[in-house]
Formats: sequence, structure tokens, C-alpha cells
Amino acid sequence: MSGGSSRPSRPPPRAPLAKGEPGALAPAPRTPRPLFRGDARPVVTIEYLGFHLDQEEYALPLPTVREILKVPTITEVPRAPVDVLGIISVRGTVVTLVDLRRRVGLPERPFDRRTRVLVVDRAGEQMGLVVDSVSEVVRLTRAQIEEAPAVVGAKHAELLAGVGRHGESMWVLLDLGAVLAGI
Amino acid sequence: MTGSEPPGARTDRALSEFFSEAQEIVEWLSRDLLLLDQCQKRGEQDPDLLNNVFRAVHTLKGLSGLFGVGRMTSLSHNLENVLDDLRLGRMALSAEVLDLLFDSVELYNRMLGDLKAGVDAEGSEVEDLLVRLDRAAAKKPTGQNVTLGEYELDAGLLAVLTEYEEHRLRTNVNGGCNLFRLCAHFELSVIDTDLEALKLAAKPFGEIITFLPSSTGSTEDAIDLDILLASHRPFAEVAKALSSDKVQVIEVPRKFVGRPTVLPAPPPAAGAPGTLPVGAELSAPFGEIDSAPSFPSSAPPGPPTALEHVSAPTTIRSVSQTVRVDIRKLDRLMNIVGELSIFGNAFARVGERIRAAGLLKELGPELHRMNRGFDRQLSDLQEGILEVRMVPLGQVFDKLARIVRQISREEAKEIRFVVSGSDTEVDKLIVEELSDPLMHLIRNAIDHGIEHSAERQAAGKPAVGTIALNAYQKGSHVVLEVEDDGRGIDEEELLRTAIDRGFITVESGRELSRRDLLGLVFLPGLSTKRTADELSGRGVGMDVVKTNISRLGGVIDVQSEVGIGTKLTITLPITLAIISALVVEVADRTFALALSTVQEALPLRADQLRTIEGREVISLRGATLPLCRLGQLFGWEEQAGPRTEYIVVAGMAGRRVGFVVDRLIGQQDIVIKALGRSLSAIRGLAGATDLGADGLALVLDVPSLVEEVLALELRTSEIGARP
Repeated sequence: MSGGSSRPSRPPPRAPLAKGEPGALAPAPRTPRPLFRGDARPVVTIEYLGFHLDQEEYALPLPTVREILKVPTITEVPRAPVDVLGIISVRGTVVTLVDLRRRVGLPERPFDRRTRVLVVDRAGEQMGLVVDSVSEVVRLTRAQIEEAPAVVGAKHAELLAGVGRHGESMWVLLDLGAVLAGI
Repeated sequence: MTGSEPPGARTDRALSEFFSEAQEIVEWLSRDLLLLDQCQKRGEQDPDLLNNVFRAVHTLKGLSGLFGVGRMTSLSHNLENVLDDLRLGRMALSAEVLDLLFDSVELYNRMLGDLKAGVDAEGSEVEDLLVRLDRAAAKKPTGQNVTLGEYELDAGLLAVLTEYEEHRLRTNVNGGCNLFRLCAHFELSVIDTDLEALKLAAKPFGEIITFLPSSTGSTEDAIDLDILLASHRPFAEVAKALSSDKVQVIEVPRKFVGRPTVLPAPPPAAGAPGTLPVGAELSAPFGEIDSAPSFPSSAPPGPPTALEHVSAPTTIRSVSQTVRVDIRKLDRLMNIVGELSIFGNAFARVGERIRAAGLLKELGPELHRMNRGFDRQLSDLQEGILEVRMVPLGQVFDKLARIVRQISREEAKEIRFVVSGSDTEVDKLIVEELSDPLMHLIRNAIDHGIEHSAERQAAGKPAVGTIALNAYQKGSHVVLEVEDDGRGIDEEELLRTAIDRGFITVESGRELSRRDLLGLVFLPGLSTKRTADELSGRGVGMDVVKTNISRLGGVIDVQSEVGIGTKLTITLPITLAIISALVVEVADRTFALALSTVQEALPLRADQLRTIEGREVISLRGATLPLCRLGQLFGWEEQAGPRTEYIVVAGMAGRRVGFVVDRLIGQQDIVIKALGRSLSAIRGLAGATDLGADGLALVLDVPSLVEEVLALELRTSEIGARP
């Protein structure tokens, strides 16, 4: 499944990396210039990076993602927490790799050419999240973000920051801090 | 703390500069005090050293005043007074006074530490120290009844001497020195170098008391100086060595008239011949020897400015040529170098593609060349940064010398502390981590190694014990040896205690080699302070020392002979990050083990293998060695089927394990990298290392794996023994 069609088509230039708490629901809001003269009300949009896990679309606040990699050689680590796939080397730094499928309770699946690692930052430490594929940068206004519906969250509700809707499309917004908690 | 705000940041920075500088001066101070201590022990005096100490304290006073560190200023101010008294001979430099001066170094360090930690400690230490200094000083009034009357010195000269010079003059005359006058002629253009040369030449003969411009002979571009030299040597020798066409040596005549001369009160007008006091009138005035080279004098005889530095002992010396850098800044630079090399690689790939596609035939090779140059510069840069991290071990050694002095006085043991190789350079982080372990070792050597002098003499040893600290570089490692000529370690005693405490069984004890036996000293819990006394060996947490050393990627080894002494040898990598490792393959995975933990590696022969209570063991040269399969331990499937396996024997003393591996890949130097927060606590792993094309390999934490395997072993045998 690919995302809806009525989103802004071009990804904006990447926002500078946020220094604040990872996984905070709202990264620094961005106030674009009004599109039309006379449009006095500024629309605050928040940028997310959209990606796929199984058949669903997920998203993380864009500033929390440092970079996107193809899957490098993974070194398995014994006695590691269950959701940890192992470690990888990113430019000389040892990065702990988390299987995001496992983390959100989805069945495992072999990697393919679209599999990606999102390198995120947890209080100065780099962590990798394996996702099925990366779709695009999503801009959502406050109005387009809802609290996570109770239905979604049976087992993993604590990982969700909310749900973003734009036209026909829907993204599960993850709370990075919660995703990495306990790992 | 608002370090990010500009005003705060500025203060922080200024303060950190203050710390660096103060720290450096305190280190100098400590070093000079140690030298002074040695002099004092030999019964010698070195006024230069005392002046250095004085200057250091004086500088600290100025510095701390500048930064408003009142406690430090007041300590310095008071010390300065004490040191001035010492300099001027108003107080004798006794061992007690030296103790107190050493205490002041500790106090400075503590003050700096408090300041750095932001602790506003208001203590009475300064007052305490000063009270004790006062007391020590009061105990030793120095004889002021020395007279200079024996010499026919011009009262005018005496009048212009500073209090310090006068004191030095008294001391030297009192010490039976002869006085010589050097009449020297200097061209002003070269006076700096010529005067230095003369000072240097005169130094072996004695002490220069003062330089005075001669009343005659000065011209616009030249000056005559009268230099007063005190020497034990006879006139002929001094004259022969120092005379030249510019320098004339004259002996200051002794008086034979037995009229004791009380040192005159300074006459009001210096050098005015009309005011000569009693006792001087009989002699030829010092300043009026006509054989002095005479030049038409047109310039006024005032002292030229070029000379001022010579006679101003309180000059603040330029402290050092070095810059102190926060090591984190160097780490950051290293990271930037890493990032740059990524870009370099990217350029190289672009170059390759351009070449492969046959594009830009001229530019392609040029790009390639440029990239090669870039690479070279980059690795030079990296090397340079690594070099900056290297500091001489002397920093730690000085601290240790202070400790030796302190402990040996506490314990009333006489100890000669011999240091070599203090200029050996090691990564800054290692130096920081080394001081505690070394301090432990040296304290142990004094506490438990070196005997009291009576006992030593009874054993036919020199009364003074020796502790030697040697450092030298050996390949990419640095070796440190702490050696004492004390009573040595009694292995039998050590073994008995280890058996009594259940660390090893009687049987396994019998299998231990001598080296392994001594290695027992590092077992945790064996060498506590209490048992150390029982063992008449060493104690205080040798296991802690060993742990600290191995955390640095080093090894520690002990050699000892009862009655002769003990030698501990520490071998460390020069930089923290790189260790020698054995790379092995187990269950299709690659691991690295620090070579320092590996004893040997050998092929596993099926006929050696036995099973005791479900656990595999082999007999190795008569000893039973438990085996460990990492796949099993880590819960990984191992490939079945016949294949050659190897055993890597690792651990120490009686606690060894054989790790079964599929392949020995080889030995190489690796850079250990820390695992992330969630993985760093995993037992049995020390980190990871980048093997280049083969990706990351885990570095095993061998000591903890050995303990784990042996604990399992014990549990199994207990379960097996249950009815």
C-alpha cells in the first residue's frame, strides 16, 4: 500500500536536527508564510518521516531521524533485549539495531531491497530502527493529528503518539521515547 | 550553571585557564619541593631551588588574587612570608618544615579541586597549616651571630646588598668559603650572553652573591661589573678557570686582626666612603682596587636596565610552553577526521566511476591524485591528534614521589625512591587512570614489602630500602615496573590462605606453577588489608589494581623472591583504544579476545576430551581444564559434524577455562568500541570492534566469562553431589 495522493508532493528540505527530547510528540512547529495574501491565520505544520511496517503506514517526527541507511552487515549480540537485532557500524560508531516490527508486535519478514534503517538519536546515543521501507516526508497540521484511537492500542498503545490523517491517508505516529524505552 | 550563555561561558573559560595555570604551577612547586627534599637529605642547600619555590608561591598569590580566590591568596601570602624567612636564613629548612610545605601542595590541590567542583569549602586548613608552620619555625631559631668581620669587605658594599644577598654571603662565609671579586668588563650589546656565560662558568665553583656595577669603567656601550663570588676552591683554581681578557679575578683578603666585627647598620648613603663604620676602615675598600680595567667614564654609574632581571629574584617566570586542552575537544577532532575520511572515500568512488566510464580523461587521474594526497594529509592529521593526547608519565611519578615521602615518614621507614623513564609518553586517559593503581602498588611495597631498617640490617641488607619505578616503551606498549628490595611474598603462606578461604582446592593448588601461585595475590578477597598482614605479603586490593589495569587493556604480572624483593610489571597499550587481540570464529560468528587474557591456543583432540557430570573437560599437562562452548553459553546452534576445533586457554592462576572455537583467524591490533547503553551491561562482552570488510566483531570479556563458566561448573558439581 502506498500513501494517499493529496499530500504535498515534494519533500521539503530537511529540518535541522532537534536537540530536544527524542520522541516528543511535537517537534519545533514550523510557521510557513501564508500561502495567499489575506490568509491571516498562520497554519502550523509539523514534519514527519513516513515509513511502512507490514501493511501500515507509520511516521516519526522528522527531526528525530538523523539519517536513512540500507541495511549493512548486522552483528548478532547474544543476551541482548529481545527486540534488538544486533549491532551495525555507522561511520565508525557502533549502533544498536532495533527490529521495529518486533517492537510493535508484527510478524517477522526477511529484508528486501526496500528495507531501511532509520538512525535516530537517544540522548546522544545513536540507535537504528529497521523498517520495511521509507515513503516520504509528511506535513501535518495540528488539526490533522488525533489522539490514538483505543482500538489500535491493545498491546502497544504506549508506543503511539497519535494518528495523523490527510485526505484518504492515515499514519500511525510513534512516540520514539516509548519505542526505545526498555531497550 | 548556564554554561551556554555568553557571560557564563566567558567566566568558565577564564576560570578553566586559571585552573590549568594554577595546576601547572602547583606541579612545578611540588617538583621543586621534592628536589629540595633530596638536597636537604644530603645536607646540602640549594638557594636556587628555594627561590623557585618562592617564585611559584608568589605567582600563585598573584594569580589567585586576580581570580578572587581568597583562600588561596591568603595561603600563598603566608607561605610567601615563611619562604622568605627560609630564603633569608631566618628559619632553617628542617624536615618538619618541608613536611608542612608538602602539606601546602596538597592543600593547593584540594583548593583547586573544591573550586572546580564548585564546592565553597571554608576550612580552617590554611590557619592550621600556618600555625604548624609557625611552630616549626619557632623551634628552629637560626644563629644570627655570624660575622663577616673575617673578611675585609667594604661597608659600602655591605650596605647595598639586599637582605637576601647578605644572608647568602653570611652563609657562605660561615661555611668556610673564600670570597673572590670578579671584575668583569662587558659590551652592552652582548652583555646578556656574556654575563650568562660567566655565570655558567662560575656556577661549578660556588655561588655568585651579587653583581654590582663598578664605579669606574662604564662607558656608553660597555660596563664594568664587580661580581662577588663565594667558593670553596683556592684562588689559583678559580682564577685559572674564570680569568680572561674581560674578567679579572681578585681574592678578597682575609683580615688577621682579631677584631670581631659586628655587621654594621646600613649607612645612610650607600657607598659613601665617609661613613665607613668601625672594622671596615682598616681594609682596602672593595670598590677601589685600581687594577680594575679602567675606562674613561662618561656615563653615570647607575645600574643599567639590562641587569635588572639578574638581581630581581621575584620575577614571575614564564610558566610553560604548553597549552592545556580538554580531551573531549580532541575526541571531537578525531570524530571530524573520521567524517572527513568518509568524504574522502566518496570522492574516491566518484573518481573511480569517472574513470570507469571513460569520462574526463584528463581530469580523472588528477582527481585520483588529489584524493590520494588528501588521504595522506588526513592520516597525518589523525596521527597528530593522537600525538597530542600523549603525555609524559612524569606527571604521575611526581605525585608518587610525594606519596612515597609521606608514607615512608609515617611508617618511619627509610626509603630511596628511584625513578626512570618519566618522559615515557602515554595516552592522557591512561595516565589519569594509572595513578591510583600505582599508588596502591607503592603503598603496598612500603607497608608490606620494605622492612624496618633494623630488620633489614639484621638480614644483611642496606638499611635504606629501595623502591624503583621504571617506565619504558616496548613496541606499541608501555611497561611500568614497581620493584622493591623488601621481604618478598611467601608463596606457601599465600597458597595456604587461598586454600583456607576456599578459592582453590588442595589438589588444584598442587598443580599450580610458581608463577600461578604468585598470581593468587590478585584473587579478589584474598588480599585484603587484614590478610595482607597475615601473609606478610602485599595487600590492599590487588584485585582492584588488576581490574583497573585490565580495564585499560593492560596486564599485571608479579615476580617475587622471599627475602630479596618483589617486582610488579604492568604492560599497557600506548593508547587506550587499541589492544592486541586474538580473532576467532565460533558458530559462524567472529569474536575477538584480548590477547593479554589468552595463555595458549591448541587443537582439540578427541582423545583428550572427557565428560565430568555432564560438563566437558580436558587434561592439559596434568591439570583439569573446564571447557566452554560459546554457542551453548549464548544459546546459538552450532554446526554439527566432524571438524577441527581449537581450544583457547584463557584466564589466570587456578581459574582458567578452555574456550572451544572453530577457527583461529589470527592476531591483530583492534580498536575497542563501546556498545550502546542497552547492551553495555551484557555479561561476557567487552565491546565491539570494526574488522573492516567483515563488519563488526564482538570483543569477549574473558575474565567475566571465566568466572561465569567456573560458577556454572561449581553449581553442576554441587547438584551432582546432592543425594
